[in-house]
Amino acid sequence: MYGVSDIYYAAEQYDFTLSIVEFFFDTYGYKRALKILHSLKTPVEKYALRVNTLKTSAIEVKEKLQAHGVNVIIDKKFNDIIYIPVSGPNKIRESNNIIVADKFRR
Amino acid sequence: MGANLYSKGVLKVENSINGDYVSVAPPRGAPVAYGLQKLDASEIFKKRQGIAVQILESIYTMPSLRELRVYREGLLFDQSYPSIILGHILEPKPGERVLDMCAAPGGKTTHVAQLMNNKGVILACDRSSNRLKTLQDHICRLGIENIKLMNIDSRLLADNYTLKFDKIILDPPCTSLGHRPKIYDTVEIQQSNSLSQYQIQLFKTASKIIKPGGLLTYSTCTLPYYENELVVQYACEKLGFKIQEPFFKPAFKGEFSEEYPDLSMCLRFYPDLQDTPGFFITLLKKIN
Repeated sequence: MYGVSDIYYAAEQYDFTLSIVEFFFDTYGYKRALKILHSLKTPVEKYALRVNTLKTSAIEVKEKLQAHGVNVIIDKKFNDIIYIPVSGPNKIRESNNIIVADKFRR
Repeated sequence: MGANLYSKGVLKVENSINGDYVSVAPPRGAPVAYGLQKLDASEIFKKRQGIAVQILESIYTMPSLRELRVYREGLLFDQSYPSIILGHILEPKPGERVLDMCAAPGGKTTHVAQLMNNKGVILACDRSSNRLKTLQDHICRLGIENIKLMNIDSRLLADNYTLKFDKIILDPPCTSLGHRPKIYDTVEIQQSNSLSQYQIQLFKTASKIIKPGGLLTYSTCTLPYYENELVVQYACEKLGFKIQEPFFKPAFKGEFSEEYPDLSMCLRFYPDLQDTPGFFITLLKKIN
């Protein structure tokens, strides 16, 4: 069981709206919902990439990425999926100069 | 995640100038990166292109793939695991006629082209001309030859064209609550309910332009069942579709499977149980 204060606390902690948090609590239960909210705050551990098999193979891409020092895992089932490990969370320096960005996009 | 910050993504520059060390922060929450500012604010907001901040430290890091030659040469596409799986589940064949109703930025469409070995035709529609330009860039980079682009709201396709398709990809706009990492989100659950009506409108069009016996993948990158199982259930009850068992089941069954056993053939990727974004995929066949 959960109370209104649990919804407020989780919405504040994970920075989602009250209605979404309440929906997750109702649908998945309190404990599971918190796990879902927590997982959404972190990136995947293995970042997937699609290999363009019109031009190359997973093995060839793996060799080329490894030449740049990138660790690569090839999917066991599909020949067009590879993974790159994501590292973190890392400590970072902070500056008083702030740039606000919505996401890292081109 | 380690990639540089491009001008397009900048919302606000507070006092700093080219050459300053800066923290990069989302609109809400703590800084996520630290780096060297490469452009003045006026250049960032006037040109909206180029690297605004060279990232030196990031909370989560991975290589800046887009700056590598393997990416520029079109050997890779940046796409989540469930999104790639969708292409395999649809099993497109060379020579088929495929429609992608909400195609941009193009991960699924270009994957299907790849699986068709550049043979056959894919009509890739999107209502955003800007996003179609991004897709066009990917098509050139990847060496794809069998995608035709159309700038249209796909709900209008049945009114204007008589074409029928062997296979359809329907990955409509959704609340995107499965994205990872998600630093904050302002979506309300009512928006999920509203979007499901738009998703159903797209499904109605799909039901008119798919060949009898044709296959359709319906997918979203969100969690609420309003946009997932309930939309699929509507398509089955009202639009003549039937859920199909995918040849590969790397995820959990659909919600409400106990009440509606066919929903057990849906694929649910849960971010707390799998190392993937939250995602939903269903393969359907047009029966009547």
